[in-house]
Amino acid sequence: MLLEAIDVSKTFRSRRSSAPVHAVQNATLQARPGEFVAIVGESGSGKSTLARLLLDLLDPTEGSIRLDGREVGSMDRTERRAYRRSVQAVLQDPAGSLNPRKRVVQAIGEVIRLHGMARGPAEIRQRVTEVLELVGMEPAAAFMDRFPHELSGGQRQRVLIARAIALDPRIIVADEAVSALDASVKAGVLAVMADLKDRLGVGYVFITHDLPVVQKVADHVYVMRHGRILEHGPKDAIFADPSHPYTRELLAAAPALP
Amino acid sequence: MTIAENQPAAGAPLIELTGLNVVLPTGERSEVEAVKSVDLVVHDGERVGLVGESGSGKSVTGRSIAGLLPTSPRVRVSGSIRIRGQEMVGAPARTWDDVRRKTVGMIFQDPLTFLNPTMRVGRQVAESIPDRRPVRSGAGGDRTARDRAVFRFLRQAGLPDAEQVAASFPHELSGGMRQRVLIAIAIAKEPSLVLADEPTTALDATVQQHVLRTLDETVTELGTSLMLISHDLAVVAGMTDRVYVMYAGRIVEEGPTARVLAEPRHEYTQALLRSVRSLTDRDTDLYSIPLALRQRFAEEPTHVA
Repeated sequence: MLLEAIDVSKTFRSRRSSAPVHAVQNATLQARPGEFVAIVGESGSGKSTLARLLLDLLDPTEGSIRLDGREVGSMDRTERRAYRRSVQAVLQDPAGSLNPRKRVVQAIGEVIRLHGMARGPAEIRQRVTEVLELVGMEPAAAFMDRFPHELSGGQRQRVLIARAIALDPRIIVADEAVSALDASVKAGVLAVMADLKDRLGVGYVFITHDLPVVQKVADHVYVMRHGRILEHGPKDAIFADPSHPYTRELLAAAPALP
Repeated sequence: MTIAENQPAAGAPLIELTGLNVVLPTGERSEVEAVKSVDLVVHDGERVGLVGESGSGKSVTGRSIAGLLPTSPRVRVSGSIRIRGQEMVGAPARTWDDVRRKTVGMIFQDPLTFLNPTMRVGRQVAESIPDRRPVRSGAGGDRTARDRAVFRFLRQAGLPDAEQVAASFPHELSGGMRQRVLIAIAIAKEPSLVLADEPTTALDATVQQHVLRTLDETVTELGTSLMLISHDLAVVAGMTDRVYVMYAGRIVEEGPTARVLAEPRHEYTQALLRSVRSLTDRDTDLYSIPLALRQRFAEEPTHVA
Protein backbone atom coordinates (compact mmCIF):
# COMPACT_ATOMS: atom_id res chain seq x y z
CA MET A 1 0.00 0.00 0.00
CA LEU A 2 1.16 3.50 -0.76
CA LEU A 3 -0.25 6.80 0.48
CA GLU A 4 0.83 9.78 -1.58
CA ALA A 5 0.41 13.52 -1.71
CA ILE A 6 1.16 14.57 -5.25
CA ASP A 7 2.00 18.21 -5.90
CA VAL A 8 -0.68 19.17 -3.45
CA SER A 9 -1.53 22.78 -2.52
CA LYS A 10 -4.04 24.28 -0.15
CA THR A 11 -4.98 27.91 -0.24
CA PHE A 12 -7.28 29.48 2.32
CA ARG A 13 -9.24 32.53 1.26
CA SER A 14 -11.30 34.63 3.57
CA ARG A 15 -13.96 37.00 2.39
CA ARG A 16 -12.74 39.88 4.48
CA SER A 17 -9.02 39.91 3.99
CA SER A 18 -7.80 40.21 0.45
CA ALA A 19 -4.61 38.17 0.79
CA PRO A 20 -5.10 34.40 0.43
CA VAL A 21 -3.02 32.15 2.68
CA HIS A 22 -0.98 29.54 0.86
CA ALA A 23 -0.85 27.01 3.69
CA VAL A 24 0.64 24.20 1.62
CA GLN A 25 2.36 24.67 -1.73
CA ASN A 26 3.24 21.88 -4.15
CA ALA A 27 3.93 19.26 -1.52
CA THR A 28 4.79 15.75 -2.60
CA LEU A 29 5.11 13.00 -0.02
CA GLN A 30 4.94 9.23 0.26
CA ALA A 31 4.08 7.00 3.20
CA ARG A 32 3.89 3.22 3.51
CA PRO A 33 2.81 0.72 6.15
CA GLY A 34 5.69 -0.28 8.39
CA GLU A 35 7.47 3.01 7.81
CA PHE A 36 7.92 5.96 10.17
CA VAL A 37 7.69 9.14 8.12
CA ALA A 38 8.21 12.44 9.95
CA ILE A 39 7.17 15.89 8.80
CA VAL A 40 9.07 18.48 10.81
CA GLY A 41 8.45 22.19 10.83
CA GLU A 42 7.69 25.05 13.15
CA SER A 43 4.35 26.74 13.71
CA GLY A 44 2.90 28.13 10.50
CA SER A 45 4.91 25.74 8.32
CA GLY A 46 1.76 24.11 6.94
CA LYS A 47 2.50 20.70 8.44
CA SER A 48 -0.87 20.37 10.15
CA THR A 49 -2.70 21.43 6.99
CA LEU A 50 -0.82 18.74 5.11
CA ALA A 51 -1.92 16.24 7.78
CA ARG A 52 -5.54 17.28 7.33
CA LEU A 53 -5.23 16.88 3.58
CA LEU A 54 -3.85 13.36 4.06
CA LEU A 55 -6.71 12.55 6.42
CA ASP A 56 -9.30 13.68 3.89
CA LEU A 57 -10.49 16.35 6.30
CA LEU A 58 -9.70 19.09 3.79
CA ASP A 59 -9.90 19.09 0.01
CA PRO A 60 -6.74 20.17 -1.78
CA THR A 61 -6.90 23.34 -3.88
CA GLU A 62 -4.57 21.71 -6.37
CA GLY A 63 -2.90 18.34 -6.71
CA SER A 64 -4.17 15.11 -5.24
CA ILE A 65 -4.01 12.67 -2.36
CA ARG A 66 -3.81 9.09 -3.62
CA LEU A 67 -3.99 5.64 -2.12
CA ASP A 68 -2.36 3.05 -4.33
CA GLY A 69 -2.72 5.42 -7.24
CA ARG A 70 -6.44 6.01 -6.67
CA GLU A 71 -7.33 9.67 -6.08
CA VAL A 72 -9.23 10.16 -2.83
CA GLY A 73 -11.28 13.00 -4.32
CA SER A 74 -12.77 10.68 -6.94
CA MET A 75 -13.62 7.80 -4.58
CA ASP A 76 -17.24 6.78 -4.03
CA ARG A 77 -18.77 6.58 -0.53
CA THR A 78 -17.77 2.99 0.17
CA GLU A 79 -14.20 3.53 -0.99
CA ARG A 80 -13.93 6.72 1.00
CA ARG A 81 -15.15 4.95 4.11
CA ALA A 82 -12.52 2.28 3.59
CA TYR A 83 -9.93 5.02 3.11
CA ARG A 84 -10.88 6.67 6.37
CA ARG A 85 -10.54 3.33 8.10
CA SER A 86 -7.10 2.54 6.74
CA VAL A 87 -5.72 6.05 7.30
CA GLN A 88 -6.37 6.98 10.92
CA ALA A 89 -5.68 10.12 12.95
CA VAL A 90 -4.13 10.68 16.37
CA LEU A 91 -4.10 14.34 17.25
CA GLN A 92 -2.30 16.45 19.81
CA ASP A 93 -4.89 17.19 22.41
CA PRO A 94 -6.22 13.95 23.85
CA ALA A 95 -8.59 15.79 26.17
CA GLY A 96 -10.18 17.53 23.19
CA SER A 97 -10.42 14.34 21.12
CA LEU A 98 -12.24 12.30 23.74
CA ASN A 99 -15.82 12.91 24.79
CA PRO A 100 -15.59 13.67 28.53
CA ARG A 101 -18.93 11.91 29.14
CA LYS A 102 -17.96 8.61 27.52
CA ARG A 103 -16.08 5.81 29.21
CA VAL A 104 -13.04 4.33 27.48
CA VAL A 105 -15.01 1.25 26.38
CA GLN A 106 -17.68 3.48 24.82
CA ALA A 107 -15.18 5.79 23.10
CA ILE A 108 -13.36 2.91 21.44
CA GLY A 109 -16.43 0.67 21.10
CA GLU A 110 -18.43 3.17 19.08
CA VAL A 111 -15.90 3.41 16.25
CA ILE A 112 -15.65 -0.40 16.19
CA ARG A 113 -19.44 -0.59 15.88
CA LEU A 114 -19.72 2.22 13.32
CA HIS A 115 -17.20 0.58 11.04
CA GLY A 116 -18.67 -2.90 11.62
CA MET A 117 -15.39 -4.27 12.95
CA ALA A 118 -17.22 -6.34 15.58
CA ARG A 119 -20.84 -7.15 16.43
CA GLY A 120 -22.65 -7.29 19.74
CA PRO A 121 -21.50 -5.92 23.10
CA ALA A 122 -19.44 -8.98 24.05
CA GLU A 123 -17.51 -9.04 20.79
CA ILE A 124 -16.95 -5.28 20.91
CA ARG A 125 -15.74 -5.49 24.50
CA GLN A 126 -13.35 -8.24 23.48
CA ARG A 127 -11.94 -6.07 20.68
CA VAL A 128 -11.57 -3.09 23.04
CA THR A 129 -9.65 -5.34 25.45
CA GLU A 130 -7.32 -6.42 22.64
CA VAL A 131 -6.46 -2.92 21.51
CA LEU A 132 -6.00 -1.59 25.05
CA GLU A 133 -3.53 -4.38 25.72
CA LEU A 134 -1.75 -3.59 22.45
CA VAL A 135 -1.07 -0.05 23.68
CA GLY A 136 0.18 -1.31 27.02
CA MET A 137 -2.90 -0.51 29.12
CA GLU A 138 -2.93 -3.73 31.08
CA PRO A 139 -5.02 -5.16 32.56
CA ALA A 140 -7.52 -3.62 30.15
CA ALA A 141 -10.38 -4.23 32.58
CA ALA A 142 -8.86 -1.65 34.93
CA PHE A 143 -9.19 1.13 32.32
CA MET A 144 -12.31 0.19 30.33
CA ASP A 145 -14.87 1.87 32.52
CA ARG A 146 -12.94 5.01 33.29
CA PHE A 147 -13.83 8.46 32.05
CA PRO A 148 -11.16 10.57 30.29
CA HIS A 149 -10.67 12.74 33.39
CA GLU A 150 -9.77 9.63 35.35
CA LEU A 151 -6.79 9.00 33.07
CA SER A 152 -3.38 10.68 32.93
CA GLY A 153 -2.28 12.57 29.80
CA GLY A 154 -0.17 9.64 28.61
CA GLN A 155 -3.02 7.19 29.20
CA ARG A 156 -5.44 9.39 27.25
CA GLN A 157 -2.99 9.50 24.36
CA ARG A 158 -2.76 5.69 24.49
CA VAL A 159 -6.56 5.44 24.38
CA LEU A 160 -6.53 7.53 21.20
CA ILE A 161 -3.93 5.25 19.67
CA ALA A 162 -6.00 2.22 20.73
CA ARG A 163 -9.07 3.77 19.12
CA ALA A 164 -7.13 4.34 15.90
CA ILE A 165 -5.74 0.80 15.70
CA ALA A 166 -9.15 -0.72 16.52
CA LEU A 167 -9.98 -0.18 12.84
CA ASP A 168 -6.90 -2.06 11.58
CA PRO A 169 -5.44 0.99 9.84
CA ARG A 170 -2.39 0.71 7.62
CA ILE A 171 -1.20 4.25 8.31
CA ILE A 172 -1.70 6.54 11.30
CA VAL A 173 -1.34 10.27 10.82
CA ALA A 174 -0.16 11.62 14.17
CA ASP A 175 -0.18 15.40 14.49
CA GLU A 176 2.00 16.51 17.44
CA ALA A 177 0.78 13.39 19.22
CA VAL A 178 3.45 13.46 21.93
CA SER A 179 4.44 17.13 21.98
CA ALA A 180 2.52 18.09 25.09
CA LEU A 181 3.77 15.14 27.16
CA ASP A 182 6.54 14.97 29.76
CA ALA A 183 9.74 13.20 28.68
CA SER A 184 9.03 9.95 30.50
CA VAL A 185 5.43 9.75 29.26
CA LYS A 186 6.56 10.74 25.77
CA ALA A 187 9.11 7.92 25.76
CA GLY A 188 6.36 5.50 26.81
CA VAL A 189 3.94 6.54 24.06
CA LEU A 190 6.70 6.49 21.42
CA ALA A 191 7.69 2.99 22.53
CA VAL A 192 4.06 1.89 22.07
CA MET A 193 4.00 3.40 18.58
CA ALA A 194 7.26 1.69 17.61
CA ASP A 195 5.95 -1.59 19.01
CA LEU A 196 2.76 -1.34 16.92
CA LYS A 197 4.86 -0.72 13.85
CA ASP A 198 6.74 -3.95 14.51
CA ARG A 199 3.75 -6.05 15.58
CA LEU A 200 1.00 -4.85 13.25
CA GLY A 201 3.09 -3.36 10.45
CA VAL A 202 1.29 -0.03 10.77
CA GLY A 203 3.01 3.02 9.25
CA TYR A 204 3.11 6.57 10.58
CA VAL A 205 3.05 10.05 9.21
CA PHE A 206 4.36 11.77 12.28
CA ILE A 207 3.99 15.53 12.34
CA THR A 208 6.11 17.34 14.89
CA HIS A 209 8.35 20.25 15.75
CA ASP A 210 10.38 18.02 18.06
CA LEU A 211 13.61 17.14 16.26
CA PRO A 212 15.20 14.91 18.89
CA VAL A 213 12.11 12.69 18.74
CA VAL A 214 12.36 12.54 14.96
CA GLN A 215 15.99 11.55 15.19
CA LYS A 216 15.05 8.81 17.59
CA VAL A 217 12.14 7.17 15.78
CA ALA A 218 11.80 8.26 12.13
CA ASP A 219 12.84 6.37 9.02
CA HIS A 220 12.25 9.14 6.53
CA VAL A 221 12.10 12.91 7.17
CA TYR A 222 10.41 15.79 5.36
CA VAL A 223 11.30 19.35 6.43
CA MET A 224 8.62 22.00 5.90
CA ARG A 225 8.67 25.77 6.08
CA HIS A 226 6.22 28.40 4.86
CA GLY A 227 4.02 25.73 3.25
CA ARG A 228 6.78 24.14 1.22
CA ILE A 229 8.77 20.96 1.63
CA LEU A 230 12.36 22.17 1.70
CA GLU A 231 14.07 18.81 1.65
CA HIS A 232 13.43 15.19 2.44
CA GLY A 233 15.39 11.99 2.73
CA PRO A 234 16.26 9.07 4.94
CA LYS A 235 16.65 10.22 8.56
CA ASP A 236 20.36 9.51 8.76
CA ALA A 237 21.08 11.52 5.63
CA ILE A 238 19.03 14.51 6.83
CA PHE A 239 20.61 14.56 10.28
CA ALA A 240 24.16 13.86 9.16
CA ASP A 241 24.20 16.19 6.21
CA PRO A 242 21.26 18.60 5.98
CA SER A 243 21.36 20.35 2.63
CA HIS A 244 19.09 23.26 3.49
CA PRO A 245 20.28 26.04 5.84
CA TYR A 246 16.92 26.06 7.61
CA THR A 247 17.29 22.37 8.50
CA ARG A 248 20.72 23.18 9.94
CA GLU A 249 19.19 26.02 11.96
CA LEU A 250 16.48 23.69 13.31
CA LEU A 251 19.03 21.06 14.28
CA ALA A 252 21.17 23.62 16.09
CA ALA A 253 18.19 25.03 18.01
CA ALA A 254 17.02 21.74 19.49
CA PRO A 255 17.77 21.97 23.21
CA ALA A 256 19.89 19.15 24.58
CA LEU A 257 21.33 18.15 27.92
CA PRO A 258 25.06 18.65 28.37
CA MET B 1 4.30 38.04 65.77
CA THR B 2 5.92 41.35 66.65
CA ILE B 3 6.17 44.13 64.14
CA ALA B 4 9.95 44.00 64.09
CA GLU B 5 9.78 40.34 63.10
CA ASN B 6 7.61 41.17 60.14
CA GLN B 7 9.82 43.88 58.69
CA PRO B 8 12.15 43.33 55.75
CA ALA B 9 15.43 42.26 57.30
CA ALA B 10 18.88 43.07 56.05
CA GLY B 11 20.84 39.95 55.20
CA ALA B 12 17.73 37.78 54.89
CA PRO B 13 17.50 35.70 51.71
CA LEU B 14 15.45 37.17 48.90
CA ILE B 15 13.04 34.23 48.96
CA GLU B 16 12.83 31.63 51.69
CA LEU B 17 10.19 28.91 51.80
CA THR B 18 10.16 26.77 54.92
CA GLY B 19 7.91 23.74 55.30
CA LEU B 20 5.48 25.14 52.75
CA ASN B 21 2.26 23.18 52.27
CA VAL B 22 -0.41 24.11 49.77
CA VAL B 23 -3.75 22.31 49.55
CA LEU B 24 -5.91 23.03 46.52
CA PRO B 25 -9.53 22.03 45.92
CA THR B 26 -9.99 19.75 42.90
CA GLY B 27 -13.73 19.23 43.08
CA GLU B 28 -16.76 19.73 45.28
CA ARG B 29 -15.44 17.51 48.03
CA SER B 30 -11.94 16.59 46.92
CA GLU B 31 -8.64 18.35 47.37
CA VAL B 32 -4.99 17.73 46.62
CA GLU B 33 -1.84 18.43 48.61
CA ALA B 34 -0.11 20.16 45.71
CA VAL B 35 2.94 21.24 47.72
CA LYS B 36 4.26 19.24 50.69
CA SER B 37 6.80 20.60 53.19
CA VAL B 38 8.86 22.42 50.61
CA ASP B 39 12.04 24.21 51.69
CA LEU B 40 13.52 26.48 49.06
CA VAL B 41 15.86 29.49 49.08
CA VAL B 42 16.78 32.04 46.44
CA HIS B 43 19.59 34.46 47.27
CA ASP B 44 20.32 37.78 45.60
CA GLY B 45 21.80 37.40 42.14
CA GLU B 46 21.23 33.66 42.11
CA ARG B 47 19.79 31.65 39.23
CA VAL B 48 17.70 28.81 40.47
CA GLY B 49 15.82 26.17 38.51
CA LEU B 50 12.73 24.30 39.64
CA VAL B 51 12.11 21.22 37.50
CA GLY B 52 9.43 18.59 37.60
CA GLU B 53 6.85 16.84 35.48
CA SER B 54 3.29 18.04 35.12
CA GLY B 55 1.49 17.72 38.43
CA SER B 56 4.72 17.87 40.45
CA GLY B 57 3.69 21.10 42.17
CA LYS B 58 6.36 23.30 40.61
CA SER B 59 3.95 25.89 39.23
CA VAL B 60 1.95 25.99 42.46
CA THR B 61 5.21 26.63 44.31
CA GLY B 62 6.00 29.44 41.86
CA ARG B 63 2.55 30.93 42.24
CA SER B 64 2.88 30.88 46.03
CA ILE B 65 6.04 32.97 45.76
CA ALA B 66 4.16 35.54 43.69
CA GLY B 67 1.04 35.43 45.87
CA LEU B 68 -0.98 34.23 42.90
CA LEU B 69 -2.70 31.15 44.27
CA PRO B 70 -6.45 30.94 43.61
CA THR B 71 -8.36 33.10 46.07
CA SER B 72 -10.88 30.42 47.06
CA PRO B 73 -11.28 30.02 50.83
CA ARG B 74 -10.66 26.32 50.28
CA VAL B 75 -7.04 26.98 49.31
CA ARG B 76 -4.95 26.33 52.39
CA VAL B 77 -1.37 27.51 52.77
CA SER B 78 0.74 26.66 55.80
CA GLY B 79 4.42 26.91 56.63
CA SER B 80 6.40 30.01 55.81
CA ILE B 81 7.00 32.19 52.74
CA ARG B 82 9.51 34.90 53.57
CA ILE B 83 10.38 37.56 51.06
CA ARG B 84 13.41 39.52 52.26
CA GLY B 85 12.61 38.22 55.70
CA GLN B 86 9.03 39.38 55.68
CA GLU B 87 6.48 36.65 56.42
CA MET B 88 3.92 36.50 53.61
CA VAL B 89 1.70 33.61 54.68
CA GLY B 90 -1.49 35.31 55.74
CA ALA B 91 -0.29 38.71 54.52
CA PRO B 92 -2.98 41.08 53.24
CA ALA B 93 -3.56 41.46 49.50
CA ARG B 94 -2.01 44.93 49.61
CA THR B 95 1.31 43.55 50.82
CA TRP B 96 1.30 41.02 47.98
CA ASP B 97 0.53 43.82 45.50
CA ASP B 98 3.59 45.55 46.82
CA VAL B 99 5.74 42.44 46.37
CA ARG B 100 4.56 42.01 42.80
CA ARG B 101 5.09 45.69 42.07
CA LYS B 102 8.59 45.94 43.48
CA THR B 103 10.20 42.60 44.20
CA VAL B 104 8.96 39.81 41.93
CA GLY B 105 8.48 40.17 38.19
CA MET B 106 6.71 37.27 36.51
CA ILE B 107 6.77 35.69 33.08
CA PHE B 108 4.27 32.97 32.25
CA GLN B 109 3.91 30.44 29.47
CA ASP B 110 0.95 31.97 27.72
CA PRO B 111 1.44 35.68 27.09
CA LEU B 112 -2.07 36.19 25.73
CA THR B 113 -3.75 35.54 29.06
CA PHE B 114 -1.36 37.96 30.73
CA LEU B 115 -1.45 40.79 28.21
CA ASN B 116 -4.44 43.07 27.86
CA PRO B 117 -5.71 42.58 24.30
CA THR B 118 -7.26 46.05 24.08
CA MET B 119 -4.25 48.03 25.23
CA ARG B 120 -1.19 48.92 23.20
CA VAL B 121 1.95 47.16 24.33
CA GLY B 122 3.80 50.37 25.18
CA ARG B 123 1.20 51.40 27.74
CA GLN B 124 1.31 47.96 29.35
CA VAL B 125 5.07 48.22 29.79
CA ALA B 126 4.71 51.80 31.07
CA GLU B 127 2.21 50.70 33.71
CA SER B 128 4.74 48.46 35.36
CA ILE B 129 7.45 51.13 35.61
CA PRO B 130 7.66 51.96 39.33
CA ASP B 131 7.42 55.38 40.96
CA ARG B 132 4.84 56.59 38.55
CA ARG B 133 4.01 60.24 38.65
CA PRO B 134 0.64 61.34 37.30
CA VAL B 135 1.02 61.66 33.55
CA ARG B 136 -1.01 64.42 32.00
CA SER B 137 -1.74 63.86 28.35
CA GLY B 138 0.30 66.19 26.19
CA ALA B 139 2.14 67.50 29.23
CA GLY B 140 5.54 66.90 27.70
CA GLY B 141 8.43 66.14 30.05
CA ASP B 142 7.34 63.11 32.02
CA ARG B 143 5.64 61.48 29.10
CA THR B 144 8.65 61.42 26.84
CA ALA B 145 10.86 60.24 29.70
CA ARG B 146 8.43 57.38 30.28
CA ASP B 147 8.32 56.61 26.56
CA ARG B 148 12.09 56.50 26.44
CA ALA B 149 12.10 54.10 29.37
CA VAL B 150 9.50 51.91 27.67
CA PHE B 151 11.58 51.76 24.50
CA ARG B 152 14.68 50.96 26.54
CA PHE B 153 13.00 48.04 28.33
CA LEU B 154 11.60 46.69 25.05
CA ARG B 155 15.05 46.90 23.41
CA GLN B 156 16.61 45.26 26.45
CA ALA B 157 14.09 42.46 26.09
CA GLY B 158 15.32 41.79 22.57
CA LEU B 159 12.89 43.92 20.57
CA PRO B 160 15.03 46.34 18.53
CA ASP B 161 12.00 47.91 16.79
CA ALA B 162 10.81 49.16 20.17
CA GLU B 163 8.81 52.14 18.85
CA GLN B 164 6.83 49.98 16.47
CA VAL B 165 6.25 47.23 19.04
CA ALA B 166 5.11 49.77 21.64
CA ALA B 167 2.44 51.03 19.24
CA SER B 168 1.15 47.51 18.54
CA PHE B 169 -1.62 45.48 20.11
CA PRO B 170 -0.65 42.03 21.44
CA HIS B 171 -2.45 40.16 18.63
CA GLU B 172 -0.33 41.96 16.05
CA LEU B 173 2.84 40.36 17.43
CA SER B 174 4.24 36.87 16.98
CA GLY B 175 4.47 34.43 19.89
CA GLY B 176 8.19 35.06 20.38
CA MET B 177 7.67 38.83 20.37
CA ARG B 178 4.84 38.59 22.89
CA GLN B 179 7.05 36.57 25.20
CA ARG B 180 9.72 39.27 24.91
CA VAL B 181 7.09 41.88 25.76
CA LEU B 182 6.44 39.91 28.97
CA ILE B 183 10.15 40.02 29.72
CA ALA B 184 10.07 43.81 29.17
CA ILE B 185 7.09 44.16 31.53
CA ALA B 186 8.80 41.99 34.13
CA ILE B 187 12.08 43.92 34.07
CA ALA B 188 10.41 47.35 33.86
CA LYS B 189 9.60 46.95 37.55
CA GLU B 190 13.31 46.57 38.23
CA PRO B 191 12.46 43.58 40.40
CA SER B 192 14.87 41.67 42.60
CA LEU B 193 13.60 38.39 41.20
CA VAL B 194 12.39 37.40 37.76
CA LEU B 195 10.11 34.39 38.16
CA ALA B 196 9.67 32.62 34.83
CA ASP B 197 7.24 29.68 34.64
CA GLU B 198 7.72 27.69 31.41
CA PRO B 199 8.53 30.94 29.57
CA THR B 200 9.35 29.26 26.26
CA THR B 201 7.40 26.01 26.29
CA ALA B 202 4.84 27.18 23.74
CA LEU B 203 7.48 28.51 21.35
CA ASP B 204 9.25 26.92 18.39
CA ALA B 205 12.79 25.73 19.09
CA THR B 206 14.51 28.47 17.09
CA VAL B 207 12.42 31.15 18.80
CA GLN B 208 12.87 29.50 22.19
CA GLN B 209 16.61 29.72 21.81
CA HIS B 210 16.45 33.47 21.10
CA VAL B 211 14.04 34.21 23.93
CA LEU B 212 16.16 32.25 26.42
CA ARG B 213 19.26 34.12 25.32
CA THR B 214 17.42 37.40 25.77
CA LEU B 215 16.27 36.40 29.24
CA ASP B 216 19.80 35.29 30.11
CA GLU B 217 21.38 38.55 28.94
CA THR B 218 18.75 40.73 30.57
CA VAL B 219 19.04 39.04 33.96
CA THR B 220 22.84 39.22 33.80
CA GLU B 221 22.81 42.88 32.82
CA LEU B 222 20.44 43.87 35.61
CA GLY B 223 21.97 41.56 38.23
CA THR B 224 18.48 40.24 38.99
CA SER B 225 17.87 36.84 40.56
CA LEU B 226 16.15 34.32 38.34
CA MET B 227 13.85 31.48 39.21
CA LEU B 228 13.15 29.33 36.18
CA ILE B 229 10.36 26.78 36.43
CA SER B 230 10.30 24.18 33.69
CA HIS B 231 9.60 20.58 32.82
CA ASP B 232 12.49 20.77 30.37
CA LEU B 233 15.81 19.79 31.94
CA ALA B 234 17.73 21.02 28.91
CA VAL B 235 16.32 24.53 29.32
CA VAL B 236 17.13 24.62 33.03
CA ALA B 237 20.60 23.17 32.38
CA GLY B 238 21.68 26.12 30.29
CA MET B 239 20.13 28.85 32.41
CA THR B 240 20.65 28.09 36.11
CA ASP B 241 23.39 27.48 38.66
CA ARG B 242 21.35 25.58 41.19
CA VAL B 243 18.32 23.38 40.76
CA TYR B 244 15.49 21.86 42.78
CA VAL B 245 13.81 18.69 41.50
CA MET B 246 10.16 18.24 42.47
CA TYR B 247 8.02 15.13 42.41
CA ALA B 248 4.50 14.64 43.76
CA GLY B 249 4.56 17.93 45.66
CA ARG B 250 7.94 17.38 47.32
CA ILE B 251 11.48 18.52 46.63
CA VAL B 252 13.35 15.27 46.11
CA GLU B 253 16.77 16.68 45.25
CA GLU B 254 18.60 19.99 45.33
CA GLY B 255 22.10 20.94 44.26
CA PRO B 256 24.32 22.67 41.71
CA THR B 257 22.69 22.19 38.30
CA ALA B 258 25.82 20.69 36.75
CA ARG B 259 26.19 18.15 39.57
CA VAL B 260 22.52 17.15 39.62
CA LEU B 261 22.53 16.53 35.86
CA ALA B 262 25.85 14.71 35.81
CA GLU B 263 25.48 12.72 39.04
CA PRO B 264 21.86 12.68 40.16
CA ARG B 265 21.59 11.22 43.68
CA HIS B 266 17.88 10.64 44.13
CA GLU B 267 16.42 7.65 42.33
CA TYR B 268 13.65 9.80 40.85
CA THR B 269 16.12 12.28 39.35
CA GLN B 270 18.08 9.35 37.96
CA ALA B 271 14.96 7.85 36.38
CA LEU B 272 13.85 11.24 35.02
CA LEU B 273 17.25 11.89 33.43
CA ARG B 274 17.31 8.41 32.02
CA SER B 275 13.97 8.99 30.29
CA VAL B 276 15.06 12.41 28.95
CA ARG B 277 18.30 11.00 27.61
CA SER B 278 16.50 8.00 26.11
CA LEU B 279 14.68 10.41 23.81
CA THR B 280 17.90 11.79 22.38
CA ASP B 281 20.57 9.09 22.73
CA ARG B 282 20.65 6.91 19.68
CA ASP B 283 21.88 3.76 21.34
CA THR B 284 19.51 3.53 24.29
CA ASP B 285 15.98 2.13 24.35
CA LEU B 286 13.13 4.49 25.04
CA TYR B 287 12.68 4.60 28.81
CA SER B 288 9.52 5.52 30.67
CA ILE B 289 9.50 5.63 34.48
CA PRO B 290 7.63 2.47 35.57
CA LEU B 291 4.41 2.93 37.51
CA ALA B 292 5.64 0.85 40.46
CA LEU B 293 8.65 3.15 40.81
CA ARG B 294 6.42 6.23 40.63
CA GLN B 295 4.20 4.89 43.39
CA ARG B 296 7.20 4.27 45.59
CA PHE B 297 8.60 7.76 44.94
CA ALA B 298 5.26 9.30 45.82
CA GLU B 299 4.97 7.35 49.06
CA GLU B 300 8.49 7.64 50.43
CA PRO B 301 9.46 11.22 51.02
CA THR B 302 13.22 11.34 50.83
CA HIS B 303 15.27 14.39 50.17
CA VAL B 304 18.78 14.41 48.81
CA ALA B 305 20.75 17.61 49.12
